[in-house]
Amino acid sequence: MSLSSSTSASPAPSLETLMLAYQNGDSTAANALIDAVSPALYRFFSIHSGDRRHAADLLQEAWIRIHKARHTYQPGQPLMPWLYAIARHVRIDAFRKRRAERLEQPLESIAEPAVAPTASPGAAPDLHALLAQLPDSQREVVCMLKLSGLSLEEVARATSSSIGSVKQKAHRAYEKLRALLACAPAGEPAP
Amino acid sequence: MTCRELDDLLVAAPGAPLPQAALHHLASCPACRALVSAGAAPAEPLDPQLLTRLRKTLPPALAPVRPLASTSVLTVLFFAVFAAAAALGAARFGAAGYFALAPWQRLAVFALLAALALAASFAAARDMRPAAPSLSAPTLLLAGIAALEILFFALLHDYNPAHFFHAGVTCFRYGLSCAAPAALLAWFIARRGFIVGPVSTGAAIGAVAGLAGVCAQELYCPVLTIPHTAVWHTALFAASLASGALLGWLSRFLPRSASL
Repeated sequence: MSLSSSTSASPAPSLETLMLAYQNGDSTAANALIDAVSPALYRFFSIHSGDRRHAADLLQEAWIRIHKARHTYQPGQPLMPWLYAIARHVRIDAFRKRRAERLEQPLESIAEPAVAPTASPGAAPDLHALLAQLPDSQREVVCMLKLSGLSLEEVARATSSSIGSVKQKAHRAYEKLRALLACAPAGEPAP
Repeated sequence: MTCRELDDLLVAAPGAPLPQAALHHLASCPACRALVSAGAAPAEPLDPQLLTRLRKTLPPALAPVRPLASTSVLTVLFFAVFAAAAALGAARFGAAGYFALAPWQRLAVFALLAALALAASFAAARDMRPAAPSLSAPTLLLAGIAALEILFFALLHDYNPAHFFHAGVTCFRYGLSCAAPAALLAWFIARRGFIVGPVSTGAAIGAVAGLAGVCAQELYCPVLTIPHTAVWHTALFAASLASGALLGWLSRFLPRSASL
């Protein structure tokens, strides 16, 4: 199922229709919406956290906030930017909380960060590992643009920034990704 | 086609089929080929156990919710707060300042204040909804201060600094006594939404309240000197907006409820 309402051509109800039904108290529509958008949101969280369990927790927290904020979705507007804006809010909150907890911990008790798996020769480059090398703001723009297929305007709305700023971040991210891919050990990526 | 031009295509129309020139470039550029193919696969399906957990996050019986009012209705509400606070200020402290101004000066001052208040109200209304583009706090601050300073320097010609501190502090206090309840009322309206940018929302609410205070000052204050108005009247707007932004920033450290 395509996540972008503008590209969905199937007879299945669009995400926006499901959201309207959810606002009207339809549990089936709410469950269908969870099924439809959770994989993309999970990928968004896992790219940023690098930890599956933490990403699952963030996804659950996101759904709690989506439920609380469901009255603020404006019918007629695309749903994905609204969802990503809430997901981003959850991610930033969690990042601040984790940082505060780390500052409070004694140095010895802080666990070492997980080491990114090294690519075996001939394997396709791991996108998660590549994205991990980008700054946070560029990573979220690439995730929304390239992985979720949001338009420039939708990404700008989700990240509360201007289209120009999104463009600039995407260009910088693509340049850096290209440089990383050019010197990746895999050589030729998978088609 | 260059790598940069390919980036332009990928950024402008993500997911759209690439033109022939781009395909030629991809054939000769391994880095771009890797960039285009990386992450092309759709998101993997989620673990059914996680999906079940997510479904259980929502209450089994959902109650319908009334959608948030439209941005224009919310803008009118915030503007009404601005107007009511300024009117109450005039009712309480009098309107000597209004009568001290010439008719064309009144028109210029209150038209500008109303326009700024409308912009701040619109920004506050937009901020109540996730993914609605809004004005940033520094933009609001700079635009408001610049507009007020230009107005005061264009309208007034008296540079007498007499009673600068005494009259200034009194005037600031009166303005603040109108701005504070306006901020409280605006905050009650904003709470109805879901705020993802507390700093910009705080700044917008502060701007609405600050402008209500400045409007009350313009109605009440008969001191028509540039040093007084350029400093004390503008300061109220700047202080209110900055306080709103600061409170918004501090609110990010408040614990959030993890349940529905």
